[in-house]
Amino acid sequence: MIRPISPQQRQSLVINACAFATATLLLALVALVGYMTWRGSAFIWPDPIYLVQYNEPDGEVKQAYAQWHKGAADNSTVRLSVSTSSRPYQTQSILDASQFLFSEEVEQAAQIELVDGRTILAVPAAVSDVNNAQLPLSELSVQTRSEDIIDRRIAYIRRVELARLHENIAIYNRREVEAEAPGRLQLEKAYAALQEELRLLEKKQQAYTLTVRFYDGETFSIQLADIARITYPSTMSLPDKAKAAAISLWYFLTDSPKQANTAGGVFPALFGTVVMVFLMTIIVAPFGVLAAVYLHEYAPKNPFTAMLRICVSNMAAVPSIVYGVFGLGFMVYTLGGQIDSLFFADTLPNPTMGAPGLFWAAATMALLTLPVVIVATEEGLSRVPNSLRMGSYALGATKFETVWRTVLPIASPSMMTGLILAIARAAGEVAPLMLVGAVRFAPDLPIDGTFPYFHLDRQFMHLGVLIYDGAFNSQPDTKGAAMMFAACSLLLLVVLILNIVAVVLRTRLRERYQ
Amino acid sequence: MTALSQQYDQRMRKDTRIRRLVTLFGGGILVLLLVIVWHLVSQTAPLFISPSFEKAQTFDFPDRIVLSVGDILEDGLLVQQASPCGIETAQVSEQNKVVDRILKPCTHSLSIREERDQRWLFDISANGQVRIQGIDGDNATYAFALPETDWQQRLETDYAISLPHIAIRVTTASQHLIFWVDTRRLTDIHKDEYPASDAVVLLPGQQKVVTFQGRKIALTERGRESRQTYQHDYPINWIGRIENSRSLYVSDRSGKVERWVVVNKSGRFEYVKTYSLFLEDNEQPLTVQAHANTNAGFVLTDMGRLILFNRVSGELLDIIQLVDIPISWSWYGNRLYLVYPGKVDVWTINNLAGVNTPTSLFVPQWYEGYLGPEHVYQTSSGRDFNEAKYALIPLLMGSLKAALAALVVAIPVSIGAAIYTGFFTTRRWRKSIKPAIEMLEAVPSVVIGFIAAVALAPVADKLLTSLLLFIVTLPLLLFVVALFQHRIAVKMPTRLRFGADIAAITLCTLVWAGLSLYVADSVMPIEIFSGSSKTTLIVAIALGLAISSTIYTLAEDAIESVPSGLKNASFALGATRLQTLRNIVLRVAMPGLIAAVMLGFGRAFGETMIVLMVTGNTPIPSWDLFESLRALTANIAIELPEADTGGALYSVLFFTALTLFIFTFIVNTVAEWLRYGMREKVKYD
Repeated sequence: MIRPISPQQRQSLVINACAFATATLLLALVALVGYMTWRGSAFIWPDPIYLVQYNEPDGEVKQAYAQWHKGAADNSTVRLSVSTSSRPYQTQSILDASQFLFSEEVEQAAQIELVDGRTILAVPAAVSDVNNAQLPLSELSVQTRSEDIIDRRIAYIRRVELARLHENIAIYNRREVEAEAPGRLQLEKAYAALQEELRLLEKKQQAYTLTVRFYDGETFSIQLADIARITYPSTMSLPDKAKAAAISLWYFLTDSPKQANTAGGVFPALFGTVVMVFLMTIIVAPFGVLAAVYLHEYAPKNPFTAMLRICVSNMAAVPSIVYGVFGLGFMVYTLGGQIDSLFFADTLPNPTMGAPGLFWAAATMALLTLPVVIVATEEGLSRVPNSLRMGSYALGATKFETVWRTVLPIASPSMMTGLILAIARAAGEVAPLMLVGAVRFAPDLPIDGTFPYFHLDRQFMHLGVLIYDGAFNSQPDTKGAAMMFAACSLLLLVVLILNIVAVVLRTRLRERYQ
Repeated sequence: MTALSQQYDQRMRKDTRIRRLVTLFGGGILVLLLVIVWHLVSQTAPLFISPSFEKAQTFDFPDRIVLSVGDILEDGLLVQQASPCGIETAQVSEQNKVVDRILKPCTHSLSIREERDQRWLFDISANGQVRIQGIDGDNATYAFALPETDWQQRLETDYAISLPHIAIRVTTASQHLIFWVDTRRLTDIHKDEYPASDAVVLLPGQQKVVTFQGRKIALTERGRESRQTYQHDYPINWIGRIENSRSLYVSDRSGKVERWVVVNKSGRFEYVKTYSLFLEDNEQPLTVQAHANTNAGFVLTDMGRLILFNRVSGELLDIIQLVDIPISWSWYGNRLYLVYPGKVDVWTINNLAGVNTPTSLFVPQWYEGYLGPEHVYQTSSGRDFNEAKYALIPLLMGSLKAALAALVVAIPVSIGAAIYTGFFTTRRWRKSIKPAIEMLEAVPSVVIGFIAAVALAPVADKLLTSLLLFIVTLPLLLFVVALFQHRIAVKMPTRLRFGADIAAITLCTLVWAGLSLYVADSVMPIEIFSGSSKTTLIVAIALGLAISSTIYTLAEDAIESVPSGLKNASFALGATRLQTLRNIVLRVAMPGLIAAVMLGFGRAFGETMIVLMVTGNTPIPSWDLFESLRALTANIAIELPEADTGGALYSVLFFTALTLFIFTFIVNTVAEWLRYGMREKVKYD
């Protein structure tokens, strides 16, 4: 019999196959993280502005300022974000490679980002001041400053003075004060006066404009109040670009989503995630740690304890959506409904706690992450050498004193590990949240300046839900998808860092008491 | 001394207190789990309890003639005869206060018909002037004229409304005259004539009439354009329709009531027999009514029996015997109002969600409009009187299909990697590779789902072609590498060998994958998979990636825990590493490996976000990998926020959640038991 390969080679084949499997998994991880970061960075990294020339589908040759993202999936098409005089706000157009004629970087063109999240690519030409006088471009910063003063005044009137009047009128309405009551008339007069002032201020503000010119020579004027940022990406050196990227990153982290989650930032989602996770940690920490202490330190070694352990490990394997179902059915509708009928009966039938909201989301997540905390803490407790406990007892300490003073401090890194893993899990889990309170858009943050400041009953935004929503509402390879990729990278980064910290902590504890 | 003992007592008391507290929290886990199970079961229970009638209330109206009753327990209006002629609507909850009064000349013929919670007053003057007006809410009015001579010859009349169509039957001594009116063109009145020897039932929703005589049934379209005739087994004595006219109930002399359902046979609507309900001898139905939002229906017979049944599957749910036969009835939510002269009885139907019996969830049903019994899951139909279709088989198949396909992807990769780090490589490499692969488990599934949906799905054709190419050519690559590896490896210093191994393979994999992608793009432009849905395959890859680190971690633990004594003994007997792997390591670790795969399967089965984001979420009962799917988990995420608390859909969704819970519980317990057994064995070996 002729062996096609020697035993040695056959062994190599198996090892190679196994090594290939390992390599696949590692590469998958690297590819995942790398791809996310690469696509996400397109959102913050400034793209140069080009003058492009291309054929419209009807054969017409067009020239315009455009940016394009190199994240396109294939080489046969070019995806341009064009800004023209007929359509000033940057829009995506997908061209066949054959339609694309040439491109050239233009230094004087600016990327003008508006407050509402839209972008214009054009050459700034002139500034007009409050008297509509055309001033040179160098006046821009001066005029912006004086416009800013008006802007602030308007904001103050809106946010403080008008809000106060609204509140007072609302009180009158609630008390059913007559329409002709003097107090009410006075309020209404003050209200009208403020409205008039606002109107004048707004008119004044509208005079401040920036005139820009598109490639075809047409001009377009933009109100200064609408402009968020003006940058010249084509003239930027590398450090400048890095700085611009850092500023973009900052806006990404601190701004609200705009233009249907395709521009702006993710602040409300990030904030919602953090608050929810924080609340969850407060709920899950005592429960998880005490349950683990019971299982490892107090529970007798009997079938009941074994069953408890099986329960814990089974709870970890229950699909997360089932916790969502339980959270909605039991916590929100049953418990929340009870709470409403006891404490918030005056607002019924509008539910207060009987509707999905922040607190129930945190509680559901706490339930979901409970086994994580228990298992990690128990593992830490089991690593504490028994001799330490014996020593403590020998010195006359009670069980509680031993656990509290000796065992728990030593096992504390494992509790931290458990909590960090729980946080990482809660930050990344989306399915149950969609049932118990996370929404694609929430008008208010869960913490704000109105009583009672911390709104446990409010719905909130969550990074994961934002991403889920983005998958359905964004077209691939637009700026919007880039923002979703950036949100993905952020989530991935947070979760991976938390996990790495947890792993390092655990390894340290293991090594200390090997 | 006392101070010291006091202090001691205090400490002991505190110790006891804390012990109790801690025990409370430990027991709390069990309580929590029991509460979860109890809640899921309690919300699912309605599906397994048959609904039943219960007499709730009787309203006496001795001094008035009740014509029609609205949902009077929920502020609906009672319609009563006004004096001298005309109708009044009254609010029962406010001492029968008259809300509205419509007076008519006494020569007019008045009649009330109901259509989708809206009652209409048919008012026809002596010379055939018709005025139809809404009684509840909608105040639309339709007025038109019937030919005066036809109307004045009437012996009997019938009315039916299903907007936008109205049908009026005027029966004269010699024939039935059917007047069809389209409310959008009121002047255009169509008249059909049928012989008086036939019995006629109007089907306004289908714009048809059914006529029957003896054993013959004929369905005729408006304008008599098409006509279908059927021969029945027994002489027919009654035909009834439910409100949407999509199901007919045919009762014959044998005591059988057959449901005939409309089917669309290539554009032609025909009626086909499905199940039968069986009545007593000589019993005949008086009416068949369908519930607006569930699959419940009831039959009232001339012997006073009220039969509640599932109108899709034909299962009988509850039967009660009424003392008197009511003259009219209406059904709102779980309240059934039976109108008698001088009084109204209110029956409530307990547990209406129980209409969806297990049979109707798991056995193919013949729904209205379908060509045969099928598994259909469809809840989005918002129209009243449409049948609810809650077949769970498509969802179960979807979940299983996704999970099994994911396993096919995950098993080779993760077990291979587990063998590599657990057995072949050195401790040093293991320590750096293992945590890296375990990081994969931390990647949120929504991120994997997002990449799969936004980045992979649009290029699925290319991706799958190149993947196919890659997998087919891979053995060749590995084979070639294997031929030379040994020769190169022996020349390298021992310390470098393992590192070089994985590095070389990683590089090869990368180059080869890149090459496959490139080749798929340029050399093989034929799209092998074009035209069919690729989402299941994309899900398999994404879900496979998500579960592979779960399987890897557990499998690696199992392989690594094989005692080194066993391995060394094998080596000492002259076995190669491959032989040791096959004969010792895999054999000992097998329970652990099976447990790992089971837990991976459980995770794939319960995963929500990836299947939700990547698949088209269309519930198709098919195992075909080129068909889209909808998983149980995704279904909950889609439907639960919209479901009414306590409704049928709510119970069905809780039932699926309970199924998921029990399934993972069993899988996990078995896997834990396998792992436990293996640990014990390894300990004593």
